[in-house]
Amino acid sequence: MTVALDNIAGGRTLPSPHRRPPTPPTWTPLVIASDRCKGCELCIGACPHGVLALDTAVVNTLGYHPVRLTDAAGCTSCALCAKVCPDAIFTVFAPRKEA
Amino acid sequence: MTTPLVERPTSPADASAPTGTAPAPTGTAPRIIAGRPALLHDKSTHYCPGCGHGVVHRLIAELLEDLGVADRTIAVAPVGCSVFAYDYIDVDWIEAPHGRAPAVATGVRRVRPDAYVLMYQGDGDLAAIGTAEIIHAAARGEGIVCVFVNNGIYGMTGGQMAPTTLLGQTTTSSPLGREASAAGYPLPITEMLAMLPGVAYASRGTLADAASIGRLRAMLKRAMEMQLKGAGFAIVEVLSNCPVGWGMTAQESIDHLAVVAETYPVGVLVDRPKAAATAARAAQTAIPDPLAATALEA
Amino acid sequence: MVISAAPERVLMKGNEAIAEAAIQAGCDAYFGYPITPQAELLEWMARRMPELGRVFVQAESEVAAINMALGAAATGARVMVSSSSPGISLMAEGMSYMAGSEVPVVLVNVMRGGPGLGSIGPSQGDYLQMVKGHGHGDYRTPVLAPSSISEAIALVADAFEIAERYRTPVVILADGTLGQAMEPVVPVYRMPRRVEPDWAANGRGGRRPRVVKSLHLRPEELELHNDHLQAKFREIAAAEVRWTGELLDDAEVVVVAYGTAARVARTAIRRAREGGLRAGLFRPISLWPFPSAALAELAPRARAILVVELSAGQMIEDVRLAVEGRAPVGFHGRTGGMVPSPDEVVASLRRLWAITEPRNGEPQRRRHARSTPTLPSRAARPTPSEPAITDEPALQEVWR
Repeated sequence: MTVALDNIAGGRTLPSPHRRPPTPPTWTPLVIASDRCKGCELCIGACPHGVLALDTAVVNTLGYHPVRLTDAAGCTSCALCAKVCPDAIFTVFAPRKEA
Repeated sequence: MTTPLVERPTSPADASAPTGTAPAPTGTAPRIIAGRPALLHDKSTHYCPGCGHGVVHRLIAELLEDLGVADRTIAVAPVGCSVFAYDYIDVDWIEAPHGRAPAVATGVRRVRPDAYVLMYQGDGDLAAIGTAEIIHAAARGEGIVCVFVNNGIYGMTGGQMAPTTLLGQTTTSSPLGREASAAGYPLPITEMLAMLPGVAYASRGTLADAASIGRLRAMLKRAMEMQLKGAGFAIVEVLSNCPVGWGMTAQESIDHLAVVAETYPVGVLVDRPKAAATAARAAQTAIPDPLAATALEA
Repeated sequence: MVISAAPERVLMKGNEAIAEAAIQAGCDAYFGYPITPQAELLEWMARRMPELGRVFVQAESEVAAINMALGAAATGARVMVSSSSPGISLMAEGMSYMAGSEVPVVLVNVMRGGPGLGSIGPSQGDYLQMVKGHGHGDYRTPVLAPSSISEAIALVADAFEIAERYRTPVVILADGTLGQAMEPVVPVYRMPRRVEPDWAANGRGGRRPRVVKSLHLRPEELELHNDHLQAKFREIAAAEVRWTGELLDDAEVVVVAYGTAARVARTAIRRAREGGLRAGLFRPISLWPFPSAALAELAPRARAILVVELSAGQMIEDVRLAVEGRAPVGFHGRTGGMVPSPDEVVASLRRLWAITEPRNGEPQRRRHARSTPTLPSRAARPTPSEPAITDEPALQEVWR
C-alpha cells in the first residue's frame, strides 16, 4: 500500500526505457521494462510459445517478481504479451530477417 | 543465491537479459511492432496486478494519438479505482463527482465545440449513482464518447456489490451471493442506452484474451470516430476484471470473463451514425419505438 | 419585461432581471432546472441564450445542472446556475467540488419556504446552508444578498468578478419575493473584464496537460491545499465585505436585516421614528464575508439590536457573534413563506426598547442570559383563515 500511495502522490516516477525507441545493441525481439512489471502473469498465459516466465531470482522496486524472456530464439514477435499487459511494459520488435 | 531486494537500474539490454545473443541487424533499427504509447504517462499505475483498467488506458492512449485528437482532448474522470486516470493519460482532465461525468462532459461539450470530449466511467459510477446522468446525456445525443469499464463490483471501496454484479456473486456487501429477490437483477445499462435515438454507437467488448482485446480496440476506434463525424453519443462497455475483488488470480479473473459474458453478451448493439445525428438534431416529440430505433440504418 | 413610456426605465421581474444581468455580464453558459419561484430565470435564459449563440441546457435535475456547470466552468467558461432551496440542497455536492477544485461559478438561490418541500413563498431559511459552506468540507463561499432588483443587477456583475478573481463559486441569495416582484428599474449592466484563465482544462494543446480536481489523497498534500484555500478566504474576507446603513447615526435600536426583510425594515424604522423611537437599519449585503467589524463597531452605541429574518433565526447567530454581548440582541422572524409586516416589526422594536436599558455612555457587558418575553404560543397563533389581530408583539427572543 505504501508503494501505491507514493505513486498516487506523484512523488516518484520510475525510469522508463521507452522515451526514445530502444535500440538494443544485441538482437532481442522483446524489451521488457521489468521495473514496471507487477508479476500478474497474464503475458505468460497469453504467450503461445512459452518463452516468458517470472524471474523469481529478482524482486523489482514495486515488490514483484518481474517477467523475463527465457528464450529469445523462441519468440516470434507475435506481440500477444504486449496486447494483454495492463502495464504496457513490452516493446516488441519485428522478427529478425535472415542475413 | 540470495534474492536482491532492489533491482539494479535497468537498461534496455539488461531488462530482458536474453539467453544467447545474435548478430545485430545491419543498417536500420528494428521496426517496433508494439510498444508503450506516448500518451501513457511515465508512471507505474496504482491498479492491482492484472487489472483491466491498465489495458483500457493503453488502448485509449493509442487511439487518441492515432486519431490525432490528443491535443484538443478534454477528458472527464470518474470516482472509482480509475479516479486517477488523469495521472496516467496525458491530456486535459476534469475530475467529476461520483456518477456525474456525463453531466460534467455535457457542460464541457457545450462550451467547447472544438474540443474532443471523452469520459471514462466504472460500473458503480455509471450504472448506480450516475444512471440519470448517463441516460440523459445519451438521450440528448451529446457528441461525447463514453468508455464504460464494467467489472461488476465496487473496486476502490473494497469490493462491494454493484448493479452489474452477477446473480450468485459473492461480494463484501452480498456475502451470501447476490439474490434477485433482495438485490434485483444485473442492470443491462448499455442495452437500455442503445434504445435511445441520440445514441450513434453502443457496443460491448471484453478483455478475455488478446484477440478480444483486438476487437475491443476496433470498437473503441469506431466509437471515438463517431464524435469526429458529428454523429452523436457513443459508448463502449468493456467487460473487465477485478482480481482482488473477485478473490481470484489475475488469470482466473480473465478466464471468468467468459462467465460474465453469459449475462452481458459481447457485440455491437447499435452502429448508426447518420440516424443518430438526424435524431439528435430533430425535435423529439414522440416516444421512440425501441424496435424501430435499433432497425434504423447506419 | 415591459418597456414603460420612458425607455430608460423599465418594469422588470426580479428573476428575469438577474438573468439579463448575467447575459450582459458575459455569461457563456446557463444550466438549470425548473423550480418555483425561479422558473422565469430559466425561461429567460432559454429564450435569450440561443439568440446570442450561447449555451443553455435545461438539465434533468439540479444534480446534473450543477455538474454541467462544473464541467463548463472548468474549461474556463463564464457560467451561471440557478435554483431554489430544495434544488440548492441537491447542488451541495457540486458546490463543494467547485470550492475544492477552485472553479468559478455564479449560483443563484431564490429561497422558498422549507424545510423539505416546504412552500413556494419567500424565505430566508437557507442562510446557514449558503453562508456556512453549503456542501461538505472546510470552505467558504462569498454570498451576496440583494434587497432590490436594481441591486440584484449590480451584484450579478460583482459575483462573476469575485468568482473569477478568486477562483471560487459565488452565491447570489435572493428570495421568492425578489424573484417574482416587478419593479421599475433603470438597469445598469456591467461586463467584468475577461481574462484567459491559466488553470483551465480547455483542451488547447501545445502545453502541459492540466487537471482540474479536488482529490489530494495524501493528508500532507490536502492540508497544504486547505491552507491555500483558507488564505484565499482571508483575502476575500478582507476585501469583499459589503453592507449599508440607514438612519444609524442617532439610532437607539438597530435593525439588522437583509434582502426582503430589509425592505420591510426600511419602512418599519421610518414608522418607528414617526412614533418617536430612534431606529436605524444595518443591512448586510455580503453575508459572507459578514460585516462583523462594522457591526461590532456600532453595537456598543446601540441600546438594542433587532434581527429580522424570514426564518426561525439564522443570521442572528452571526450577529450575536459579531456583537459579542456588547448589546442585547432581539429577534423577529416569520417562517413558512410568511413576510412580516412593518407594523409587526415596529411593535417588536417598541417591545425591545421597553425591556432594555438606556446606554449610560459605556459599552454594556453582561453575562449571557436569554429571556423570552411573554408571547402567544405558536399554537395560539391565528390560523391562516383568521385575521392576525393581536396586540402582542412577535418579538420572540432576546439575548443579552
